[in-house]
Amino acid sequence: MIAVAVLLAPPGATTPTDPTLAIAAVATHGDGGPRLLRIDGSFQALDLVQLAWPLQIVVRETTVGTGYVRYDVVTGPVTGNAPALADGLDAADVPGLLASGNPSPDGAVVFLGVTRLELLLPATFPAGPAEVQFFVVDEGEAVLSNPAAVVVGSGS
Amino acid sequence: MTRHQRVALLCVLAASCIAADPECARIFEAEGDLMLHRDIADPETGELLELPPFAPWVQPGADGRLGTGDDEVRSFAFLPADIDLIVRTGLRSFSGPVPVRSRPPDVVAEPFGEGTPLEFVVAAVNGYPGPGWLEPTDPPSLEGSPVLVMAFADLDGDGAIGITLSDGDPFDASLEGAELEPVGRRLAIASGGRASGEFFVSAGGPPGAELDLIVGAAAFTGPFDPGHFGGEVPSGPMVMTRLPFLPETDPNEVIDGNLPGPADPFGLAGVEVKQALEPDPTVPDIGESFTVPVHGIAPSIDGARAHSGAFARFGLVAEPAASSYRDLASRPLRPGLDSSGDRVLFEVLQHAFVDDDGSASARVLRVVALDRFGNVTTPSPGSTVTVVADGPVRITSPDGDGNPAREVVVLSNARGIALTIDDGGGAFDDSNLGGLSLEYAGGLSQLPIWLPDPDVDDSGEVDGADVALAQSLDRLEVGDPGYDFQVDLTGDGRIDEDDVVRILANDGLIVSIP
Repeated sequence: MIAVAVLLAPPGATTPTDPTLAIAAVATHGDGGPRLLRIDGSFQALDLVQLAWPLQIVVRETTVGTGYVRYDVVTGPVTGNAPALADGLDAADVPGLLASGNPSPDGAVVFLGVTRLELLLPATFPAGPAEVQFFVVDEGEAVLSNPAAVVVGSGS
Repeated sequence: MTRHQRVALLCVLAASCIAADPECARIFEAEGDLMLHRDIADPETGELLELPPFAPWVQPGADGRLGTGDDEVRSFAFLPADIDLIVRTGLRSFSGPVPVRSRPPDVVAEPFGEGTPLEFVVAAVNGYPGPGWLEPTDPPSLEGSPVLVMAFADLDGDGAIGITLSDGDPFDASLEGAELEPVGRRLAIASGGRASGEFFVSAGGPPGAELDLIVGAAAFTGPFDPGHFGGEVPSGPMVMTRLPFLPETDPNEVIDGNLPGPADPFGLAGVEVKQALEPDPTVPDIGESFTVPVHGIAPSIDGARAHSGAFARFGLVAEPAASSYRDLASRPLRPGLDSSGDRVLFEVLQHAFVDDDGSASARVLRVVALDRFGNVTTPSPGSTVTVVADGPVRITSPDGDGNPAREVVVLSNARGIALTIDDGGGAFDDSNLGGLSLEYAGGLSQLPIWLPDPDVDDSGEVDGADVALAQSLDRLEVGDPGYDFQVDLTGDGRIDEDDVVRILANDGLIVSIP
């Protein structure tokens, strides 16, 4: 299964002092087994090497809208269900989201490129429409990317 | 008043000539600042030259741009000795003289906080040849300055960082250009003539193909002027160790103008490493002056040996053709091993092109284990990977089951397995998009494979409209909004005149498959 969402945000690899997050394109691969999520965009990749850059990637199913997997590059992915996400992820949801979720044994960040991230979705993540979004908390303030829609296949 | 002139106010500038120098270089006198004292200055203006040690002074010619044919290159006899900063790796402090370079420390490529970090200390030194040369000093112009430490990798394993002819290969400049991008960097704040810390790197190699790194540094010198970036960035000239290129030193070009406060090694840096000049060793006056030897005599820098990180996925790599390689973020180069275990430079593929020409040409890739940054690494022995071809892509070798759409391979080490792919049928008769999926226990990778044809507008015939479309996308690269792989006929990641030439070569051709 291949599903692609393309937005207009340009990718980049700069290291500004104000967080700059943008998703340009999302694609998924895999149906009935492991599922790969490929995200192209700007997420300050150099800062993942240079400092403790707290990049988070949230994949939220949008059928019900509350189930999610959140990837922390350092501590790994967690899954959960957050009613606050039903209307989409916004800055007010971030503190609660960071405080919740259960470690996912099979989700993983498998590629950190300069303008590309690749993730393996947990087997329990439901098939169907989903939304992908980056966020960081920088100096106490949540900064979010644009959301990008995608349709994922079924897990094993 | 320029920032250089402001620094001049700190010191006493004397216009003295070095008699032996044919250009009569001007010498900067600063008795109270031994780092800058007797540095080389612009003979006309008296401003300090912002150059790496050993580098000639390159100024733009009449066109105002560096890297063009009219550049003015001047070498002063004392430039090689004009060293202001020295980096040492594997330690954070020292006392007495600057330690000599010793065995490069090991570092493992992983994200911040996870790999094996590389410790460093940067020291300001008395760079004037004579008594006390290269002795540590505590210059007032460096106090409180943010020092940027950078690591560069010898990707092609030729023993040098940067574009060089010293390896006997005059045709690999496109590949060596990728060595000018830092693979790790960190800010540290200077105090007492020292700046220290640790940093992580994003590049490494598997056992047998580890990456040699060199580590250098650069810093703007003081004073801090409230009218200059809010007083958060020193307003004086840049000092630096040896570097493989001439860096951009205009702070307006390399520093984010929206600084929230003083530089913080643990915060967003807001600094960009930019090349003012990509050295061309074929220019006689430049030659190898920017080439940084990994193991040679270069007192201002130090080294490290970088290993790849832990297995994260399987992926595909290919040996890049120097003639068509472009240094793009989507085309990273990393060392690996061939079937014989010899070190090879690979492009870690994020996409691939295959010529839609039937059996006329094929493409050789390798299935390898990769870490999270895409470095070739060692898999668990006996790892099984099922390669599945999508669309028009065919697997022609290995062929253990007679099925060109599927192959099972077993990887036992970092060498990986060679995989030859091709398209089916004849020329320009396939759809433009295919792929290879790598299925393995608990994971999946996928590589898009593009097979563009010269009928780029899919009208059914190659004509002037195809040329016009390609010209309208001129210079767009992979990742740029508007880039279209169907127009990138050469498959180098950029749409340009070479693609137009390919279209014109097929003018009038009927292409039945869009």
